[in-house]
Amino acid sequence: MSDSAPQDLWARALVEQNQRWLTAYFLAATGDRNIADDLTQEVFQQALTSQQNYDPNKPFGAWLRGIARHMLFRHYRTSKRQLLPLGDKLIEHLDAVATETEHRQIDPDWQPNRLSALRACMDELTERVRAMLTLKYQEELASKDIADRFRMKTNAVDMAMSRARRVLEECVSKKLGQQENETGIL
Amino acid sequence: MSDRLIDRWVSGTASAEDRAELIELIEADPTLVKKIFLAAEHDGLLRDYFGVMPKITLEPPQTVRPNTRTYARQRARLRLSRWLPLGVSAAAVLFFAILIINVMGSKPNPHSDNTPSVVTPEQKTTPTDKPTDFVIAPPAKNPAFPKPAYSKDIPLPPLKPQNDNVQNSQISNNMPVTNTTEKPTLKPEPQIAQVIKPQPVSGYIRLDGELKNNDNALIMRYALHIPATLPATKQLGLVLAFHGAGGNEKRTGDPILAALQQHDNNPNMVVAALKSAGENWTADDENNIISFINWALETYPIDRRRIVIQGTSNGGWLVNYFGSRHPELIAGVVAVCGGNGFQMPTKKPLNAAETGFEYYIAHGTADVDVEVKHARGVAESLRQNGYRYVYREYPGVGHNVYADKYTRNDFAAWLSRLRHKTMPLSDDDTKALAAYKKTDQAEALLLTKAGGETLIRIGGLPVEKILARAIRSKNPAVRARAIHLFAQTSCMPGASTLIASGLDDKDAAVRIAAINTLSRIGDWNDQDALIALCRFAGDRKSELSERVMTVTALTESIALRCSPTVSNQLIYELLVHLLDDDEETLRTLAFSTLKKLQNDHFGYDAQLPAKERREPVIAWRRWYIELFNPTPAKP
Repeated sequence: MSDSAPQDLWARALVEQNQRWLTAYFLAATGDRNIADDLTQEVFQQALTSQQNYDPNKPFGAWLRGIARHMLFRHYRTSKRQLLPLGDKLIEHLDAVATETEHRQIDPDWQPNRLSALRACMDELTERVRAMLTLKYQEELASKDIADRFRMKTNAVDMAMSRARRVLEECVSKKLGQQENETGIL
Repeated sequence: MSDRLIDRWVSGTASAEDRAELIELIEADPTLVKKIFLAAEHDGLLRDYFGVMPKITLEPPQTVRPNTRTYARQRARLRLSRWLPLGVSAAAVLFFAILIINVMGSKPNPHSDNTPSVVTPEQKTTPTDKPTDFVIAPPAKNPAFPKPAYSKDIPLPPLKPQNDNVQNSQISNNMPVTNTTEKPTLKPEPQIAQVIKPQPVSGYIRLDGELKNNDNALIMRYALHIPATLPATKQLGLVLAFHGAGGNEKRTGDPILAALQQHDNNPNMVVAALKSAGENWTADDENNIISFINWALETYPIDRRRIVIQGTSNGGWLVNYFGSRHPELIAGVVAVCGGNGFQMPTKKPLNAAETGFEYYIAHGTADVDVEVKHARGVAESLRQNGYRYVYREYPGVGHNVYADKYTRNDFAAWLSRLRHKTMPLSDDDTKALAAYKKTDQAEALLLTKAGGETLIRIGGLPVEKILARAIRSKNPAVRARAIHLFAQTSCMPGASTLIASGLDDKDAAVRIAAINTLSRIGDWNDQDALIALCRFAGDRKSELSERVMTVTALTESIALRCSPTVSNQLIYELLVHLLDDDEETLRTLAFSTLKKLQNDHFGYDAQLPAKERREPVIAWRRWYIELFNPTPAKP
């Protein structure tokens, strides 16, 4: 029998449902994956420690977004890096789109469907571009190192990967749109 | 242009010029932020694809965070590349900030024995599950409600008793609606939702997982909906949801949770959707379900008096089977379009209505996948053995009763108030109820929001005893409040008899509370509540506005959307009776409902003078008699 404590399960569910949109939220604002990951971790830790402050009559996602906003402001105060201007409008739009994504993630099929669509879309890329993406994401190599391996210019690598990401993004949303039309009901 | 900039921004390769350009673009069009977020989200998808999304590790407060290798590496890089220039002092400040957050945010163990603040350790109570200050009389012995006065006006077929022992009767004889082709055409219009899509649920988080045994073998897959904050004491309800043939756990629980929240924004329940070992539920799943229940009870702060099982189609068969075999575990069963897996419990309770589980059955008469005879069979078994049950039979509806949101909301409200009738209260709840021991204290608490919520949460007979005492209070506000609370706690037979006393109260607020509460429980096949309401509405001495309120509640009941059965016969009888009432408002109200149930209006018009109404009213009475006591067809 599983010996998971309820707190562990709560924390697991908390992370499973909210990690992706929170990371995107911070990445959009900071433009840095590492900072986004770090802030996401801190939001979860804060949520865990102040769990008793949550009012169950209010949306849980909104509560997390409140913590995230607080973390973001704190980061803006301490960071010397050039970030996007954190005005009311930006926060408002960021909150709105994060809310939409959070709601979509309630569906347990959402992420598996997106991954399977991405898998199919990857086949549409050339072998070379797939290799570049692998080096970039899996090996976490810098563009310069990838350019050295492929004997290309750094700019060319960035351009190729940028194009590949856009192609994949369009392809995934197209495939998901098709799936939704086909399966409309449950 | 903006796409290129956005891509550079989220991939971390944007230069200072890129950033400046992006800021200009955002200032011109703030909706660009949405594109940036979606690009960032897509970046996350790629990281998921390549398996490099960092693993988040959360540790309980006051312990050192054990980072995973990936996360530790990223943090190290982050510290080097970003934080080192800030100096050692910034790192120290951050360290202390995290330390302070961890220390200040330490959370009590959810399973600790913390007692509610209103209870002191000295308030050790006597057990409250034995009736001491009042006894709820079974409905048959209740002298408070003689046959409704208006029933003397017209010769009507006798009401079918709910709990008599008719050993050899066939269901078709007792439920005349079996011959649906012979019956007058009813026109219920259930709102069938074709698409049930998951909706965000405030206050809840979802957890998909697998329960495994000590040998790491799979017991059961599950999808849990857990309140975002877990209470410190064992007080949550547990609804187990069982899918239909070939289904799975993924979305089975979603509509139930939505329905529970429709009833109460904070339903204080865990909803667990389960997956059968094979494609469908069979008797072989029984032990796995017990294992799951035990695990859930160990893992979450669940009150074991609040376990309800719900199933649809093949899941409906399963809940009939499992529920009838494990009455010691289950407070209630909801079977929707289910097969008849009911087996009479081996230990038949002496008084099933007061000690056994409660049942809710919903089925469509046009169901060709699982025929309605299965539901009728279960209802008949329950009736013969004296169990309390709600039977909803929807004329002309197929195998999709579950898609009817009114039915879902109805059974959600019904099951929310169920408590196991023989299981003792937990120590925490016993202590909490000790605060209500003295009458004046109880009345003061009852009038507070928290006091009422405690009673609704604990529920069951001990709470009904407190409320019954409060109904006799000299303070009308207390009487009204007690009756109001009964609507959300009442699950014992005979409670409606006490509530009905409120209909004769001098205070209008008490009478209105009684109308509302009786309407609620009358809709759940509580014949005492229906008798009291019909008597009140049919009594020309009652206040007109209150009579209208009562009739409106009855005509809006779900029972009236179902086939005519013993559950709703009284409502039909009242409506026909009101066609000849002195008050035109009531005549109009009754007729507007009846004409939806019967195409031929028999020339009735509510505005006609009494003499001209006579013939149409007689025709309506004949229709009613034929509906509930049809003339046998000639060979």
